[in-house]
Amino acid sequence: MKREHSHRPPPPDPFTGASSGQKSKMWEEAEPDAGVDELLAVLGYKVKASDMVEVAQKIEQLEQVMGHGQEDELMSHLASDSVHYNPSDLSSWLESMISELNPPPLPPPPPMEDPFLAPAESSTITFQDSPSDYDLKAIPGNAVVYPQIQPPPNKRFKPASSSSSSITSAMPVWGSNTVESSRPVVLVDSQENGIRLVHALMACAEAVQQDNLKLAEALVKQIGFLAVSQAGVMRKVATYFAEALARRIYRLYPENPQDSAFADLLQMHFYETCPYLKFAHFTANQAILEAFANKDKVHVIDFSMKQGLQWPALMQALALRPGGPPTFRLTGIGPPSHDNTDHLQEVGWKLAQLAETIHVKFEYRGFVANSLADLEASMLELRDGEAVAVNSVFELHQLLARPGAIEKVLSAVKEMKPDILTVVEQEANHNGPGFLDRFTESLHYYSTLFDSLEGCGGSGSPSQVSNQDKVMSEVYLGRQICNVVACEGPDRVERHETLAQWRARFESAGFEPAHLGSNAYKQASMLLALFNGGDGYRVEENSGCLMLGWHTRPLIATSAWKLS
Amino acid sequence: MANPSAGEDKEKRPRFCINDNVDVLVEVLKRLDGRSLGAAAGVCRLWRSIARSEWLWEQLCFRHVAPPPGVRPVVAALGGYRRLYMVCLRPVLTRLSKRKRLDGTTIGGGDAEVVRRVWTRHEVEVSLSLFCIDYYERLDAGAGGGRMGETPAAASLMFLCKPVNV
Repeated sequence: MKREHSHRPPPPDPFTGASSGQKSKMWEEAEPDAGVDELLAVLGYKVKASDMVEVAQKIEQLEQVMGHGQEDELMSHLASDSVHYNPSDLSSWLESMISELNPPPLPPPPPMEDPFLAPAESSTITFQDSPSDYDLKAIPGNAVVYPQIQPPPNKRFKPASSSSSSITSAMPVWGSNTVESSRPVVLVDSQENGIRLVHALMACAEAVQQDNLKLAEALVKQIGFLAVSQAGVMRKVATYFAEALARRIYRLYPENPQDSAFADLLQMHFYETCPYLKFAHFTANQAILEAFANKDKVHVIDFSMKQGLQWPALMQALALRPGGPPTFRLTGIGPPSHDNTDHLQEVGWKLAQLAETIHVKFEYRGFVANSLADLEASMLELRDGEAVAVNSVFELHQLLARPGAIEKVLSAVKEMKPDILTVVEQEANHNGPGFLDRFTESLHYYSTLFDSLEGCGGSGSPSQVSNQDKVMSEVYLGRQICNVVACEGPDRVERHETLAQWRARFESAGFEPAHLGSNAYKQASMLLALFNGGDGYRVEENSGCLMLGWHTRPLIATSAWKLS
Repeated sequence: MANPSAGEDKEKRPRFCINDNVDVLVEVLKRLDGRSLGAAAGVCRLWRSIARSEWLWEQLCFRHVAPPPGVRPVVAALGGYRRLYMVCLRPVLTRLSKRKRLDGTTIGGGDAEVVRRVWTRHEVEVSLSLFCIDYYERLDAGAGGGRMGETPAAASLMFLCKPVNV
């Protein structure tokens, strides 16, 4: 029972006209394949109905092999104590999946005798031409580890009657669970699908980069199916990325969110659910506080005013500093609001109320600007004798969408003569020139971010900050994903860059780093310890800047700068 | 005469009742931990009025840490020491007292730990910051903010109220 289309397409530069033609042909040919068992076909296993007998035999053999050898501890573990590996811990299960998949990642197409092993390969048969792009090596970081030695697939499924040595020699691969799992694992469909889901996402992204929209479209549909078979983080992340890819393919670009009120609401939920924004605020405030030591008049210019949540804590710290509070002036800059409310003024009013309560002399001015590049230092009415701090949380990367904007803003900042410039940005490179690279990077980044959200939600705990907040936070992140993947040109505003890249930019613009002190570090660590799932978060110091990450992956970075 | 000495003794030694000696009561309550102090408010009206006094809770909040200058009017304006303790300081201390041993297992947590614990300046600072944010967020909800006492904590502090998965 050979597969009809098991011939390999020629291995050319992937997706030149010829081979892509062949591929789409293969795709079309596959569809009218009569007699393929439908249930398995949904999962991508092209098994003919007539071959189900063999499939059943193989299942029996598998059971025999697993139940056999009671003397071998490892195997009896498998037989009785098998545990489904948790797919929501994305990086580690990917790792274990790859190392446990006995067959090498891209083997020659095996005959269909081994339906339970083969599907991983046979369904990816279409993509074997450009292994280096499709295989999971493309995912940077340690999410995927390639096993060094691959025993051939057949060994595992030798009938039980063969020498037990060959079976036990295959067993160590089962038992060698990598890294975080110490429990024996049984390969289940959802894990196979998980692997194929990632493959499909990467393949689709590559197809989009190659402008092969027909293939991309087919893949996006497959991704949809596969995503549904997953659970938890993988499902959510895949769904958001699939939607973004679909938007790009069908050119249904998301409208740039003009509704800043909704965006603010989403950010509020994100603020409440997980520590990233609080970390950003606390660390930036600490730097500003230290820069304002002994100054009587201080002026903060906030590029990211939103709800003004950063400032109560700073005002309170200023109120309680030895020597009493300075005169505190705040200039808030924000986008125009599209209903008739003057959002910036409302926030200013609230802050003024707070200031009056804690007896801090306060002055506020709100500026509406479509883009920070429209701002000039002369508009701000800077006064002599004031210490100035400029603050930007997740705003500067948006300027990279228009050429020259960031330079203009940085020179305007220099004209303001700030004592300190505090910047918080996402720690990721989502602004590379190639689409596939950006896609891969952001897949890794947002998977980690969603992973960290899992611990924050109110799963099972009766509290008001529960699933709704978590979902809103996910929507907030989903919009970013959509922008990174689906948009281009000036619309693509989520142009995140790494700390190293920003550092180079600031230094060439005439700033030098101001180190965040140990107070900031201690406060940040303490803040993180307060959150549910606090052990997953890590604060790292990186040449005077602080980075917050989830396990080994840094996610946001706070840095402080002064004029050199 | 039946037992004149007993009668004399009885007159000379009046029965001691704590409620008649408020200064002693205050000295005792001053040394209690937060939970006990809260419980003390349920004993009787006198105890309640004392146990809810801001001064006692101020003593509790700054038992181990010197108060920053000028803190009293700020805290009073933001909702008071009792609220500061209940809404911010106690949850912060509870969370942070769930320390990890070197082998990774968690110890501590719960009110008993909080009683014995000495807290540091940093914990008070973080609590004060969160307290201020709490006030700011409630400015939306309440009629012109600053309501003392009983309003529930603002949304951004809800992460402190959730039970911790240990």
